[in-house]
Parts: sequence; C-alpha cells; structure tokens
Amino acid sequence: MIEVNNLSKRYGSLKAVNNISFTVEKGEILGFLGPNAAGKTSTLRMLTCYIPPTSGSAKVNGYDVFYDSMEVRKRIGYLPEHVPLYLDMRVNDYLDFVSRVKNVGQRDRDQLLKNVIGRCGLDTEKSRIIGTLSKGYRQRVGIAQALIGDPEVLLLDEPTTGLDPRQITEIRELIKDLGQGHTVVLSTHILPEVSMICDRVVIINKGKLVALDSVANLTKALTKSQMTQINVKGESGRLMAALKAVNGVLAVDKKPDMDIADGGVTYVVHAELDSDVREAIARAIVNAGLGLHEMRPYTLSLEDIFLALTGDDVKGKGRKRN
Amino acid sequence: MRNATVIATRELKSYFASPVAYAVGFFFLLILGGWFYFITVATQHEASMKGTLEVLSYLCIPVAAVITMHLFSEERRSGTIELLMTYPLQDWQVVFGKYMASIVLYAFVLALTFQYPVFLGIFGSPDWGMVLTGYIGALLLGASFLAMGVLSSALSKSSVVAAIICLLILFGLRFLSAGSIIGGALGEVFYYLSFSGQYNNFSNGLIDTRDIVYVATFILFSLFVAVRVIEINRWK
Repeated sequence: MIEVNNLSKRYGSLKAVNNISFTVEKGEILGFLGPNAAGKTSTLRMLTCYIPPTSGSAKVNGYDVFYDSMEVRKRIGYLPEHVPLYLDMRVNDYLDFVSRVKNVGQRDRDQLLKNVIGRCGLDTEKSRIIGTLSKGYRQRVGIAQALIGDPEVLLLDEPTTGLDPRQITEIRELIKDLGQGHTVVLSTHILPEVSMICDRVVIINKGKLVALDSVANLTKALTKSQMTQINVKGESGRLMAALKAVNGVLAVDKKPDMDIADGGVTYVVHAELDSDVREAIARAIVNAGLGLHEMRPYTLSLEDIFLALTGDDVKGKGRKRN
Repeated sequence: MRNATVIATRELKSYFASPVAYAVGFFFLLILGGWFYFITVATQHEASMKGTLEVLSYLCIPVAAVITMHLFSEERRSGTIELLMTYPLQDWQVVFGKYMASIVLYAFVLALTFQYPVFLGIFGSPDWGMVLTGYIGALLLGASFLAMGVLSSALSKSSVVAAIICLLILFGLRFLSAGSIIGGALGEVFYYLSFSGQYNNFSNGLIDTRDIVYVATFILFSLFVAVRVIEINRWK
C-alpha cells in the first residue's frame, strides 16, 4: 500500500531524512518511532505530498507522491502533529467543509458526516466552535477530518500527545478500530502505545532507519542473555560474590532507578541464553543469608529496544537490521 | 473551479464570523460618508460621485490590505495550511478561492455606498452612466489591490507584515502618479502604472480596453506570483 524507496529530505545542510526505505501492507498498523527531531514528521509530510522529497520516492497505492500528487491526496487522511484546525468554525461546519474539499458527493455527505461524527464521539460537541473545545476533542475533530472521504491510508502524527490518560485510551481504541479496513501509519514517541496497537514498527533516528520489524522479533533479536530481575535485601558485595559463583551467570546489573522499598535493591542477572539459572540463583541468595524479596523473568521492553537502537553509546549494536 | 468556490465560501463565512467584515464596513462608510458630505453637499454642490470616488482610490488600499492580510499568513502561522495543502486541491484553486472571497466582501462593502447616488438622485440629477462606470472603476481598482493583498499575504507568516508589504507596494504605486509631473514618456509611464489614468477614465465615464487589459494583467500577475510563492514555501 505504501512503498518508500531511498527517501531523503534535506533542509539546507541538515539531512532530516536520510535514505530510508520501507513498505506498509494493506490493512497494517505501522508504528513510526523515533526520538524528537528524528525525521518522523518530515517523512509523513513527504508521504502526504506537503513537502517534496529531496531524493528517492514514495508511492501510495502505486501513485508517486511527487508525480501523481492529486491521486495520492485523494487516498490519504492526515492528522498533522499539532492538529491545526480552523478555530473559528463550528465542528459540523468544519467537517462539512472538509467533505466538500475532499469531493464527497452531495448525496452521501450527510450520512458520511453523521458516521464520522459518531465514530469519533463528537455527537455532543458537533455544534460547538472548535476554538472552545478541549485538546482531546480537538484531537477527535482532527481524526474525524482525516477519516472523511474514507481514505485507504491514514497517517497520524503523534495523535495522543497532550491528552489525559483516559483520552489516550479512547483515542487508542479508536485507532485500533480504524486499523480494521484502513492502512494506518502512526508516528509517536510513546512506546507502550506502539506495543499495544501496532503490527510492526519502524524506528528511525537522526533521519536514518535503524529497525523495521514486529515488536516480538525486535525483542528476540536484541535479547543477548537470559535475564532475571531480582529484588534482594542485604549487602551488595556478598550478593555479587554469591551470584558470580553460580554456573552460567554472566553479569549482574544494579538497577538503582528501580524502587528500593523495604530496603531491597533491584538487580538484573544476565545468564547464558540457553541455561536456566533461576533455581541456582535463588539457592545462592538464600544460602548467602540474604533476603530474596522478588524474582521474575525480565524481558526487554520497547523502551529498552528503543534506547538500544537510538542511543549514542550503543550505536554499533543498534545497527543491526532485520 | 468548484474547489475554489468551496474555499471562497469558507473564507466568506469566516469574514462574517469575525469582526473583520463589520470593522471594514464601518470605517469604509464612516470615511466615505464624511467625504461625500464634505465634497458634494458642503463644498461643490454638484450631483456627481466623482469627488467621492476619487478618495475611494486611496481608501481602497488600506481596505484591501485589511481584507486580505490574514488569508495565507494566518494559515501558515496556525499551521492549517498543512492540512489544506494535503487535500486534493490545486494551489491555484486555493489562491483563487481566497481571492474570490475577498472580492465578494469588497463588493459587499462597496454596495453599501449605493445610498450616496440614491441621495444624489433625490436631490439632483446625476449622470447615471458616469455613476455606473465610476463604480465599475472602483470595483476593478479594488480587485487589483486585493490581488496584490493576496500576494503579500502569501509572502509572510505574520498578518501585520503582510499588511505592511501590501500598503507599501500599493501606496508606492499610487504615488507614482506624482512622478507624472516630470512629463515626457517616463511621466506617462508613471501615470499609467499608478492606476490614475485608468481610474480617471472610469470616473469620467470612459471604459477603455487598455485600462481593462492593464487591470487584468495586474491581477493575473499578482495571483500567478502568489501561487508560485506558495509552491516555493513547500520546498523550503
């Protein structure tokens, strides 16, 4: 549905997007991840024909964003990052305007507007002036305008920033729901969102593509050791000595940022991938006379993956592509 | 064309939803009405719109600047242009739609002054043909200035800067007529470019194809450049 080939965007001497390629299948929800200023918005703007690429190409449903811009624009719904809306208009007037601009036929218009308003939960707010709406409702209006004309592809740029937790959940549900029947590209830097909604993720950093895969595969690829998280009360030196003695343990990391309630400290024990050292660890801790408060398997969260792939210190490691 | 109409309709609604239309109408009528009284009733005692329309050729300039200043700059400032430019619309349709909206508002405000010739008709016997061509001239002059306003608005993210650009260009052009005192061919050129020649012909009841061609060229040139400016902004 979307094909991106060696796409680059340069602003003066700054390479905002540097030679990235990926494809999105029909009906897929693709997470588009990256730190701020990684080039997410620039990429989306090129896909929506707002800015032309410096080099490379992007196609939506076979139409090139540069050469067949009008055909592409008919097939996309776009929600820009800061949800720019005409604040002096009423919600239903605005959506009516958008439906006219998007060439929705007179006959279908009323039904379509009703559907979109219902779907985005705007029924009670439809005659209010957009400028008086809360951020959450403006976001819904933004999504509603993207949905008008029933585009095959939806491009959403950070649709949940600035919302309260309840609104975030609602918007996520809506996006998940939209995934049935639309191809969705969702740009964000909120990671749990991606693991919850997206089939696959693209991670870009400093304009370059660093990963393109499903969350599960990325986790697998980056897991270098079997990890166990433990919370132990007692002297750290003795614990280290006890754990080092266990066969198969490679390293022990202290996690000082994790909660140290009840005097316990959290560690992550790295062991060889194919070994199971959990029982041995537990025994060693207890035998050393230390208090074992908690013990559970530790899996890489998307945060860890993200940091591993985008952090400067682990740059070499992060180059791995699947 | 249909798309341009959609844009124009939205802009017009927005004019009347904000104080712009009413403020422009108020000041337009205030100044022009005062001048009409001063020129026609208090001093000249002549049943003609000529003196009143003369001042209109200057009053048009700030009016055009105020009506058009936000058209593109506001969209760029608030970011709404990003959505507009990703809808299936050609750039010229957007420019033309906004331009049409500004002309309709200007024509509406101009129509409010039809009461003056009505008074002239009640208390005297004006030359109706001259009144009519005078109004056609005022409309064409306004249409030219508005086109320049649309272009100025495309040039800046700030409405105020856009208005200043528009005022500088239009007053600059208008005062070129002063250059005509140097006489000769150059003087002619100044006089011609300043809209004075065209406007005087219209208010004297004369419709000359050359004047129409000048106005049409000016409008098309301004709008064409505006479309190009918007295109360039995408590449930046």
